[in-house]
Amino acid sequence: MPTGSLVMGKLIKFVLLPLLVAFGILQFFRGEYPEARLENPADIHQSVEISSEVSGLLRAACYDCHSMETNYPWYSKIAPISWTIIQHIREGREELNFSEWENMSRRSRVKMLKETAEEIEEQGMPHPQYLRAHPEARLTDVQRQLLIDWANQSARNTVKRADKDED
Amino acid sequence: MKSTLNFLVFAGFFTLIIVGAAPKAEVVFASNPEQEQNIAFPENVMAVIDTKCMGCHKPDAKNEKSKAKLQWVLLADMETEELVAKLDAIIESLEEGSMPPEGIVAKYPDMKLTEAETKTLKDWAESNADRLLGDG
Repeated sequence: MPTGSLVMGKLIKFVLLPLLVAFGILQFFRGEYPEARLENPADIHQSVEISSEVSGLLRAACYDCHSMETNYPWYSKIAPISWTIIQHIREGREELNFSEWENMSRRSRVKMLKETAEEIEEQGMPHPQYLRAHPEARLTDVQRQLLIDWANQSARNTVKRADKDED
Repeated sequence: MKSTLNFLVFAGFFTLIIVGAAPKAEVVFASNPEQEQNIAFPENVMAVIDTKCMGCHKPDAKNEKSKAKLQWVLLADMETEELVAKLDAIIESLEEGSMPPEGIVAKYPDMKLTEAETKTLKDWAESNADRLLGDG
């Protein structure tokens, strides 16, 4: 079938090859990765009571975007998916960064905790797109309730510290 | 406490009549007047809220999203931590200048918060948040 192989050849030459080259070139523009580090002296773990169970859930379901302890998976190094991942991490940290906890006002900390409880309750978080890539971050009803109770109790404690100071 | 609340409700109505804005809208600022309230709304604050915020942030507003975010009438009955969180969100909106939303301001330029109005609301929210946190 000479015509068939001719079409195939043209397809490779004019479609697949250019696509491959374009994909290769894209890899020079993967984007700028937000810094990741494990030592964070201002992290919420340093000042707020967190059970090991809650801590495990925070790290598994929240910390990739809401702390400096981001784990970059292998596919995050590939453009164009890297663009989405980088953007999510930027926006996530801007919204709430558990590693910058001590640098926030007490008023903001109360709000962050209340909004954390609310987001989890409404199942807005963990982000649905994140869950598709990280099935291990999917929370059971019990785990969800555990996080909500922790966030609400911590908000109460953050406010109460004032009562104690005043007395 | 009750007389203050009565006064506030009266002040709210009075402002509405003076400003002439939607006098049919009912402003009740305490669903449970017998209970100790966590926050009070001085007349100058109420005036700004009534004219610039209440349209979308009242119980019978049409926009579900804005109602879910904030309803002024619910503030007085909130737990302290919930109230502090709301006040912080209000302050953030004022600092960003994100309220009233761009679309509303584009359509009704008068709805934009003046600098003085922003300051009135922000001072009120900040001093109350500080008081609730014991920092005041």
